[in-house]
Amino acid sequence: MSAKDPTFLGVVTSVSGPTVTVSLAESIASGIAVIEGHMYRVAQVGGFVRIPQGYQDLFGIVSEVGASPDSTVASGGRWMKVELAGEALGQSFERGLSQLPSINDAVHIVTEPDLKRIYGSDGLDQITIGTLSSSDSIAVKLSLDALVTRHSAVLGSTGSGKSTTVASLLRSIVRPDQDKGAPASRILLLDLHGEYTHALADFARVYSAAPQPGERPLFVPYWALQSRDLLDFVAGGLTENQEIAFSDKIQDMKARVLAAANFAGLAPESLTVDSPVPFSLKQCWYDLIDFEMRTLNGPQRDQPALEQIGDPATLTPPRYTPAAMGSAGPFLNQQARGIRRQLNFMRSRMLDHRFDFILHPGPWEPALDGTIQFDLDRLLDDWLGHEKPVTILDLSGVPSSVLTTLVGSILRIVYEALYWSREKTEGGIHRPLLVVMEEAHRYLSGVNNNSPAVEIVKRIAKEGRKYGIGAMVVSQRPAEVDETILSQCGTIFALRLSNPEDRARVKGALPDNLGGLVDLLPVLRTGEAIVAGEAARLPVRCRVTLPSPEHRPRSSDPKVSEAWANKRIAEGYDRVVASWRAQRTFAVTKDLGIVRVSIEDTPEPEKGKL
Amino acid sequence: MNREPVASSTIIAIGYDEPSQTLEVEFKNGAVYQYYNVTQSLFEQLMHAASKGQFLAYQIKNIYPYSRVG
Repeated sequence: MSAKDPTFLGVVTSVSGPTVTVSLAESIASGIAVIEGHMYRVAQVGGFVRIPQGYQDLFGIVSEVGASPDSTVASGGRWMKVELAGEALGQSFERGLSQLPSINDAVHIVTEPDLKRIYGSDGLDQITIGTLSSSDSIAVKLSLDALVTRHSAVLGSTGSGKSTTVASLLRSIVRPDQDKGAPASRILLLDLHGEYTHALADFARVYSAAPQPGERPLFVPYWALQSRDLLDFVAGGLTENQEIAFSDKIQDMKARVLAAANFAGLAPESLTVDSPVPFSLKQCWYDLIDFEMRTLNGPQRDQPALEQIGDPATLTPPRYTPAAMGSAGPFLNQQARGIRRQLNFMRSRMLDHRFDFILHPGPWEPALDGTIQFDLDRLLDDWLGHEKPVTILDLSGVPSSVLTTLVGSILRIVYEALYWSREKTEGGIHRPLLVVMEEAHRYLSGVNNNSPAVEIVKRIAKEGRKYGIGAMVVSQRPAEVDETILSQCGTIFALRLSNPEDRARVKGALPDNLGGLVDLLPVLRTGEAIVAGEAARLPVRCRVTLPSPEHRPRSSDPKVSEAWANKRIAEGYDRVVASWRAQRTFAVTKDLGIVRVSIEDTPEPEKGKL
Repeated sequence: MNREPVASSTIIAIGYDEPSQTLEVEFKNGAVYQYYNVTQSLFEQLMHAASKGQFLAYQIKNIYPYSRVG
């Protein structure tokens, strides 16, 4: 213990588990120390300390500082609490402790060379995500392996810089402009507000549920869903018997399609109602409604009293002579399953074009006999196999009533595919996948426990690690995200959070023993995060690298003052209603059929800003 | 909506419907906008402007009601 050493802070006075209390030395007069030309803030919450133990150095993070007023020492009895996090032997830093300090051990401030020791390891695994809040010159690195496989969560209030952080993280992972990038990375981003399209344009491909011209449409074929989820969505609540009526029909149709066409890998005897085999939902509806509505004639009551045949393609039901009360007939079909209401619901779902992307999935929509233009391999190739490392699924046009079903279906398709292909080069183990889930509280809420999205994300969180599928949960309302999911996130990026409930949840989810550091959450600056957990070597307060302006997610907030200061222009609410009725933003009141002539613009020299 | 000063050559095609005074503009990025209550004379001025992008940006955008239609 040398009081001459400028890095000397004080001595250990008590140790309880990984929490160490340090009494500050009298030599620390001010809050700032200058060591080798660098200025360091001494005894600040969030700062690092080093406790040498012979060959080893223990590293910890300051969680609390204070002074005892009744102290007789001139320094005022100043103390600080330190949470130990890891130790270094030589140049290699490791998390976890093999020994604890004892009383009167010297405590030192951590200088730049020490930090370089912690963060300095340069490997493929280490990605730079930003710099330390306390020192701009030190890059914070994360272990990419742990970040992806042990899952992560980005949590922060609105406006705390969540989406910028996510965009920056993805950029750090992919490194599109560097030689040593990761061109083969595979990331699927569920974008609920369409914010990322521009920010990641240079290395992402976008599929949109409500595509604008030039965007690729997102299709999720209904026949790849689990039959329970599909029936929940198209037929509403079903009793057990009703569900059997539907699933028997679906199984039957799938079996027929399978017999007609050959789907590699699927033997007829191993077909289940959940097997991803195409079948026509329209035909399924027609066959069921036909049976339900049928009235019968004749002495054996076996002659259908059909008046007019319907059409499954246009969802027109058949017409039967109404049943008569007397003994003459026609008679009702005694075997009807009592699912007419559910079938009507199914029909209205199929006619509602907000659900086109799932019930009429373009080239993946089976014809009435179950033949399809494209199979699932094409879909997966589109989502996962293209030349860009990131796939953005823009779900901004999706009605919130189907959001959980949709997210659940997408993730299930992806998960099942990668899970079963784990021994193939396209599988998750050889080419892991990171799934980024924006606004997770909207579809992963803990209240609705058996929603399809929660179920599959729980599965990814629990076992995805073994099959190369990682989750990144992004939410502004951590208290509403399912607890199991959040607790499985090994790495937490906690941005500014003020709501006490949310903070409590984050505190509980933080894997490290951080004590007072969590109380800093409400006062973090925008774009600043406390990063803790598996991927971080030490829990740090870090400034995430700010991407260049054109690579930042577009905050689409209306500019209120600007808009309200404008002169009012003539408004026509007929156009508004037309769009509302059409459920399309591009709708017009009447189609004028204007002929557009292409023009040649003669560019004027730029006159600067007018 | 694009608020930056429009450099020329952002427009692909322009159409006009006189009875309803509707101007329709197709932009390079694929978007089609309709501008309402645009008079015939303004439309002619637009067609004669050297840079239609700039004319549109300063004489029509933010002055006439519009709606994206494609």
